[in-house]
Amino acid sequence: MGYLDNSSITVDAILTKKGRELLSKGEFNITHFALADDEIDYALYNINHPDGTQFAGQAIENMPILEAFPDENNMMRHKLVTLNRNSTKIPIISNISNLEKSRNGDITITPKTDYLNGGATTGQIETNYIITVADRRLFQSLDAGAGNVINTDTYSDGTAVSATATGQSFNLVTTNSTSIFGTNTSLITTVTIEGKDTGARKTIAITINKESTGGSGTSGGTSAGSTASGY
Amino acid sequence: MEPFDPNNDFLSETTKVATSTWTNNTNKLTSAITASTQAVFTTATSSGAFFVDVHNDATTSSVQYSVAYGHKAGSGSLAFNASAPSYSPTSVIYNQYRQLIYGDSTTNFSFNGYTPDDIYVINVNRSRYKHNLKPGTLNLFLGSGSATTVAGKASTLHLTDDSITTTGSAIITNAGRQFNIVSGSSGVMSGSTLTGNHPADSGSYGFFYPDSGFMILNPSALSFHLSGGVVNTAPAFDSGSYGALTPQIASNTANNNHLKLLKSIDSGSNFEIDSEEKVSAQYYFARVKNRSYNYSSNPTFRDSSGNLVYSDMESNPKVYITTVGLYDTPGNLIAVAKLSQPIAKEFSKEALIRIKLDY
Repeated sequence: MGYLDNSSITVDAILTKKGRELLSKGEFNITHFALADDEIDYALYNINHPDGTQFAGQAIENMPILEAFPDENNMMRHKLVTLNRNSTKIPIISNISNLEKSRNGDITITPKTDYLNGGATTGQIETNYIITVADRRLFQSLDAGAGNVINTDTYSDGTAVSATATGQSFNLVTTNSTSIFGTNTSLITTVTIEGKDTGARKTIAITINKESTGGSGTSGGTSAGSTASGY
Repeated sequence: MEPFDPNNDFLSETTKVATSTWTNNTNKLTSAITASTQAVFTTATSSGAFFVDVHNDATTSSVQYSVAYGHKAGSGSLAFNASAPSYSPTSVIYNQYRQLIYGDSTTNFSFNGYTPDDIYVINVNRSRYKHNLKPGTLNLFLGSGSATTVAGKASTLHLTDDSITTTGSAIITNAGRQFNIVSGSSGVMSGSTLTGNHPADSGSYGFFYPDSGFMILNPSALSFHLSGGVVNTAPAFDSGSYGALTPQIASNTANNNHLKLLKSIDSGSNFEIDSEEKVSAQYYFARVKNRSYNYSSNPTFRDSSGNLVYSDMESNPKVYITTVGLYDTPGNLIAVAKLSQPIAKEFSKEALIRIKLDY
């Protein structure tokens, strides 16, 4: 007679840079969790394993996992999602693409989700989307609607820290300052949009020019700029 | 993202962790090594005139503790100005610790009824003792080196605190708890008096302040009990010949009495004490139900059109958990945990992941 395994898995967590910032401001309050499979390449899943299908995940299951990074922008990139059984599609963020913009310019981002419930329907809207601006110094404000406005440059201490907001459509105003550019003619940062219901995620690059050169301003509907960097 | 249940998924716990105080978790220091750059005694304002730092070894030097000598009249050290000999490094040390413990400039250190003019100090480096030194773990041996053995005196004193013998009897001072330093080991006093087996005409050995990380020693008691006390030669730092722990108290003269204590600690070859800290941890229990988290947004799990890469997985998907993210309500990722190996997740499996976050 064997012993039953009644143990739970215990892991040590580290604070992200954002977590440290919120802790220092007394705004540290964990309320949710999510799971991800960062580092997993499902090409390693060998459905033709010579020892049988039960060994298909052998390579993945024996993979040593790297330690956590404190940069919140580089963690939890590929979330596990809850869908009905027999779903044929995985939700994808759509209607956004890379952008180029001048200083003090407006950007509107209105994301949508394709295959929201694992079905074939496109262009649906989730309950909410989470937007994360990787370097908030490059924006004057981030407006997520319903009065949810973050003055992104207010808390800047000179280092690149992210700003996050939740909403369905987002308006960003690029920085009007030239000092942050130094000798660069443009700066690039990333904006990540994540569906709150599905965990679907897409990252786009936003190029901000030091001098006025025109450029497109809307991501959503009639967006211009180069092809999305997304997944 | 899935909300935690505040009634069932959170747990706060505080535990006391005790470790050796010294670098690399060394149980005891067997030698006292100084740095020539710090142990400088040329003028009254040289740092070595006030204290001497003691390192764990000569190569990867890290300060473990400091020794100092204080005299209430300023004797035993050069004066800052020869016309005012009472203002010197030794008076600074005496007044500094007196103010720290008693909060005034009139109370003198009194050891079991005996009030000497001077004190020895051992001050453990702040970074070494975490929250506090742990009472009941002190084992400090003071040796007499090559000094002549004197009848009736010990060649080595074994000092500890009396926190176990007199449990709960600590006096609370401005510097935190105060225990007596006594002859004995690991918090247990040998004998029944603070002064050991000798007449109590020189007072007790000293006081231990675990919350502030230092000890105040009574030179008179140490000199009385430790062999070599009658030799009283001039402290010669490198010669090895010293008069145990009897201080020299010439006015406006660099007697460097703290080097006597340093030599005695080095000769004893046993300085052992643990430190304590309270570690507060928050536990979060992530409950992964069978119907949840069975698909992945990982781009290698699907093609560019959103189709699953392996059609066999449509009815029986299998994904792997590697990372747990902890979020606040606005959606900020504020803590993250990685598993040592991927955990397979499918409709027939559930998982309970306990995430520990230390502060």
